Formats: sequence, C-alpha cells, structure tokens
Amino acid sequence: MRWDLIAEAAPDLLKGTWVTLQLLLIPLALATALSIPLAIARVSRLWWVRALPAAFIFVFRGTPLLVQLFLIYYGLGQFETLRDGFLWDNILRHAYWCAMIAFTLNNTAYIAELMRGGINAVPHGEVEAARAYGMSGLQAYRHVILPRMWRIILPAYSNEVVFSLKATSLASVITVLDLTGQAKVYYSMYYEPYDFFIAAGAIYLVLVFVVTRILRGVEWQLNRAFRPPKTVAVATAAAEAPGPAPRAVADGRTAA
Amino acid sequence: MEPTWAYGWMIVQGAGWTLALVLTVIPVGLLLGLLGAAAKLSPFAPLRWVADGYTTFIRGIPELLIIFLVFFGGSRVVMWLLEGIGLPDVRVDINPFVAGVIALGLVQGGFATEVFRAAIQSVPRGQIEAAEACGFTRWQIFRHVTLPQVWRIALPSLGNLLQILIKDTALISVVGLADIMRNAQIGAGATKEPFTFLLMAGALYLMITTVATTGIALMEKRANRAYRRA
Amino acid sequence: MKTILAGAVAAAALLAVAPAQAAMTEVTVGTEAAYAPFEYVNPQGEIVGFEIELGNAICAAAELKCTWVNVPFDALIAQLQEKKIDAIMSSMSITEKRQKSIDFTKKYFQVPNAFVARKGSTLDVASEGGLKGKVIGVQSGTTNADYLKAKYEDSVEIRRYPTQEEVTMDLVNGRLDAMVVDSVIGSEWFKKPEGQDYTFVGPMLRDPLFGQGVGVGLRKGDDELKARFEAGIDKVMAEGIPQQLSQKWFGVNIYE
Repeated sequence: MRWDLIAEAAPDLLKGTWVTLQLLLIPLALATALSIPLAIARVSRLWWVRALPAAFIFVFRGTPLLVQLFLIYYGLGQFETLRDGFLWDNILRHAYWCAMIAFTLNNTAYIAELMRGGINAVPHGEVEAARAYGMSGLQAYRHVILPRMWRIILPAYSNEVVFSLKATSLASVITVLDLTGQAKVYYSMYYEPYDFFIAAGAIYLVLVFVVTRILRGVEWQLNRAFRPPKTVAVATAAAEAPGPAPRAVADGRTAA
Repeated sequence: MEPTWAYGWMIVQGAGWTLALVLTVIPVGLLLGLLGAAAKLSPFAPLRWVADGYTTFIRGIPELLIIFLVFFGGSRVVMWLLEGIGLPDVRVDINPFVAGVIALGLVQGGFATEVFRAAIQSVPRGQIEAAEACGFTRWQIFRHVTLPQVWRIALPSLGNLLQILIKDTALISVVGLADIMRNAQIGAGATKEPFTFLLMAGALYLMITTVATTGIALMEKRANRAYRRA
Repeated sequence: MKTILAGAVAAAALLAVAPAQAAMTEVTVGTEAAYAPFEYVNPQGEIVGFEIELGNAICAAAELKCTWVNVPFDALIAQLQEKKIDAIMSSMSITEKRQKSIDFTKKYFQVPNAFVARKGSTLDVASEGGLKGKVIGVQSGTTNADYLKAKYEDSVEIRRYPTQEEVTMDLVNGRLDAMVVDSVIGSEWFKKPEGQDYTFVGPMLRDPLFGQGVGVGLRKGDDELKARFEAGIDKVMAEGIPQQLSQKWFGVNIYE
C-alpha cells in the first residue's frame, strides 16, 4: 500500500462518502414512503388496482439497476421536447438527481414487494378483530396492519438497506463522484489498482457495519413490547443466532 | 451511418456472453458456497474465521468495487503467485470474461455460503444421530441424509441468488465485456438513440430473469414432491 | 505492493527476451474502440478506424502479427503492465506522466486538442477565469482530463466519463457547457447531423501536459519490440501510407 497516495486521496474519498450517504438516505426515505400505498394497492382484491403496482414491481425487480440508471440518464436525452423543458433544466440535467430518481424507483419496487409479503403475513384474526371494533379499512391499516407489518419485515428491510448502500456505487458510472467515483478518478491518475479501491472498500465496510448496528437497534426497540422483562441477554443472543442470515438474499435484491 | 437494426442484432448477440457468464458462474458460486458453509460449520476455529471474513467482505463491499479490484488488479496477484511457485514466464490473461467469472463467483459464493450454512443447520440433529446409529460414515451421512434436504431447503434462496447473478452480469460491461449492456451502449453511442437501445436491453434481461424464475419454480416443485399433501 | 510491482517488471523483462527469436512475433494490441473515427466498433462487431488501419500497416511493415483487443482507456496501462496486452495503440499521447509507467515508440501522428461548445456559446477560454462555474466534460484517464485538472480544477466542474461517446452524448443533452477533445474528433463530429451545431471555441491548446504526439505504448524494457515498431513506423511514413489513410478517413492530411 502507498500510504502517501491514500493520504492525498483521503479528503476526496471522504467527500465521496458524504455523497454516497446522500444517495442512500434520500432515495430510501422516498421509496419507503412510496412503497406503503403501492403495497396496499398490490394486495387489493380488485385486479385493476393490483395490476399497475404488480407490473411496476415485476419490471424494476427483473432488470438490472444499471439499465434503469442509463435509461434515465442517457435514454431520456433522446427526446428533444423533454430536453428543452423545465424538468430537464432543473432535474434531469444533473447526474446526481438522475441517480436519485433511479435509486428511488428501484428501492420502491423491492420495498413494496417486501411490504406485500409483510401485509399478507399479518394474522387474519387481528384484522378481523380490528374490523369487529368498528375500524374502517384505513384505520385498520393505520393502527393494526402496518405496525405489525413493520415488525415482520424489519430484518429483511435491514438487508434491503445494505444492498441499497452497495448499489449506490453504480452512480459513479454516470459521473457522480461518490465514494467509488472518487476512487476511480484517483485510479486513473496513478494507475494503482489496489490502494484506492481497497481504501474505498474499507469505508464501505464501516458504513455497512454502522447501518446494520443502527437498524438492529431499531428492531430491538420495535420488539420491546414482545420482550419478556429482564431477559435482555437472551433476546440479544437470539438476535445473534443463525436466524436472519439467509434473509440476506431472501428477496432477490441486487446491485446491478 | 449504419442501420439501427444491425446494432440491435448486436445486443441479441451480446446475450450469448451474458448467458455464458451466468452459466459459468453458477458452478463456481455453488462450489464456493458449499466450501464456505463447510468452513463455517467446521470445528477448526481458523477455518471459521476465514469463512466469516469472506462473507463479511462480500456482504459489505459493492459488487462494482469487487469487479474493479479483480479486473484492474487481479492478474498482478496471480502473476505474483505464479512467480512464487517458480513460474514467472506463464502468461496470465484476466480478460473481462475471466474477471467476471472470478468477481461474480466470489460474490455468489459469499451469499451461497450463508444459504447453505442455514440449510445444513436446519437438518434435524436427530436424523444425523439416527444415521450414525445405522453405521453411516460421515460422507455417507452428508451424501444421503444432509445433502438431499439441503438442496430442497436452499432452493428458493438459490433462485434469488440466480436473479441477483443475472442482473449483476450487466456490471461486467463496465470493464468491457461485449454483453447485452455493453452492446446496447455501443448501439446507443453510434445511433444516438440511447432510449431505444437501453429499452431493448432491459426487455432482454427481463426475459432472461423471467425464464430463470419459472425454471426455479419448476425445480422447487420437483424437489418438494415427497412433501406434497395427498 | 512494491515487491509485487518489482516482480511484475522483472517478469516483463524476462518475457521480453523470449519472443525475440521468432520471425513472426504475435503481438496483442490494446485499443479503446469508442473513439470514432480513430478506433470504434462497427455493427458487425469488428474494430475499425484510422488508427486500426495505420496500426495494421505498421505491424505488417514490422513483420508483427497483431491482434486487436478492446480495452477501457483507463485500463490500458495497467493491462500492459500485467501482460494482458503487449502494446497500446489507442490515440495515447506520449507524456512524461505515462513514461513513468510505460515506454513509447516515436510518434506516428499528432493532433492538437481544443474546447468544443455549441455555436454562439459565450465561453471565454482564453481569459483567466473565463470558464468559472462551467461544467466541462472529458474522457477519464486522457491528457484532456489531466489538462483540465491542472489548469481549471478550482474554477470549473470537471465531469469524467468512461468513453468519449458518452461525453459527446452529454454535450448534446445539454448537461455540459463544453468538452475538451482531440481536434480531429471534433471536426469529424461537426460533419454529422447531431454535431453540426457545435464548433471549437478558443485556440488549439498547447501545453506540455498534452505530450509529444501519439506513439505505441510498450512495457518498460521491451526494447526489441520497440525497435521493431519504430522500424515499422519509419517504413510506412516513408511510403506515405499514414497520409493516404488520413485523406481516406478525415478528408484532410493531418500530417501537414
């Protein structure tokens, strides 16, 4: 390792890390909000309500993120009317916002699919009980189904966040100077294939570690009503146990 | 310049490379996954550490970065190793395809390790004790008791891994493999019709992932035939 | 890392001696075929262009059996050092920076570089600070990228793209105020429908950073191959082949 080169690159790598975090958090927040109505529509008994979300989820989960990103960044430029419009000047002109849009759409498809599974897994008796109390459909979702769904999907959601973090590296391909983008710039200046990529990889590992820890804390909080008192040690031991690991890939998420 | 359809045909030809990459990586990933799972469940601690380190890296580092590391830096490592065993003159060729097989094989192997480990652990301990009582050797137990069940339990997760793999192959275009994605970009650059060509690429990927999903569903049905209710 | 590098160089030296005896040496030449009309991929998937035909003429004159492979531009030098390729012919200028890593033959052509922008652009290249706040596109790993970084890093936003095609596409898409390219790439592009609204702005750029023309890139110490390539270059130059090819591809003689 050439530490002098890494030291030279360090400020830019940190700048890139900040961009990477933005590319993770903003699309994630938007996608989570969009996923809730989409998932509810997806489980509708009416086929014409179900059809559109189902098609959206099918297409965005079935194609590589790289294709989606290029379609938005380069593909839309094919239409001259769009290129002269307001949308282009303010949003689509910028690689940064194109990446945000692509990541948001992609995340939405995966999270909505997760939520669909989560909603279906809510015990039917609870929904019936809510209705028996006189709750409207909306109230039942708001007070019973969605809170229950969150607890069910949270481990898988955490994995989604990790995959999403790794997928942000694709923004570098459309000139966004995220962490991977900065590493690539330094590589092409010095032709040192290891130093910058390894340094960037180490930062990603730290980010993944931190994100996983935070989400595990949230999971623990959400489950507090279901924890027997004074058995914290048992609860965390259970969380460390082999359970969640295979869910890392349970929903077919990808970076491509 | 050249007609659009000629570049369109190039994308279809690119599907050949995409499929070749997928089919070559599958056995590499499965093998690495089985070895990784065996290491993780090994009573020998250093083996477990190596396997834990491996899966931590694969889980934490973006695929694109792994591809860059293998493609830009991979053959230096191989050359250094070859020199170490006294073969300095051997020419190593890590072209984009080989880099893709190595990088995506490592990624798939990392995920498959977790899938197989969980599946092996879910085989009830009592069955293994029963097999031991019947005088099975360790290999016989693995071959006749554990493996058939591991396959059935792991299949849905492996299906998801296959989906990931198909979509990840598009990343290899970034280092120059003439796959669907790369050829779509060539067509887009030459004809200035990027939307048309990228849409074609997207449709091809969607076809491949859909066929793969259907195939896995059929295999699941077959693997579960003994468990069907009457 | 240093030992690996030293080992690589030693191995390169060893390998260089071996093929010298053979009459018809096989040489793998790396090029980045997204740089029309110098080198690009035609719809049949073949690598064609001015530099490819010139390279083939040089190889024939040098009695070398050359095979072309398509390699990303910023990977060419690394691949040469790693012996994946034996030579580079990819409009790669001979610069001091690159000479720290690899060797070059004498030049076989040289074209100046220039800024390209939409006709009627108010871009002021000549004055100090005339580009302030502008977005300038460039291909990653090129002398153009080095030039921009050295001269304008603090005042302009530099966008680095994997290929020249993507730079051009984004200039048309209105995401860039200008790009820096080889002048021949520019003047050839102006002849096409999508390039007719564009023109050079400011003078042709002169700077040591652009190097001393384009030569064949070779591994350090590969002197035998260098001698043969240089003999080949001398021979085709004497026969006037490059000038004919220049007329054929560009309609002008770039050697004048």
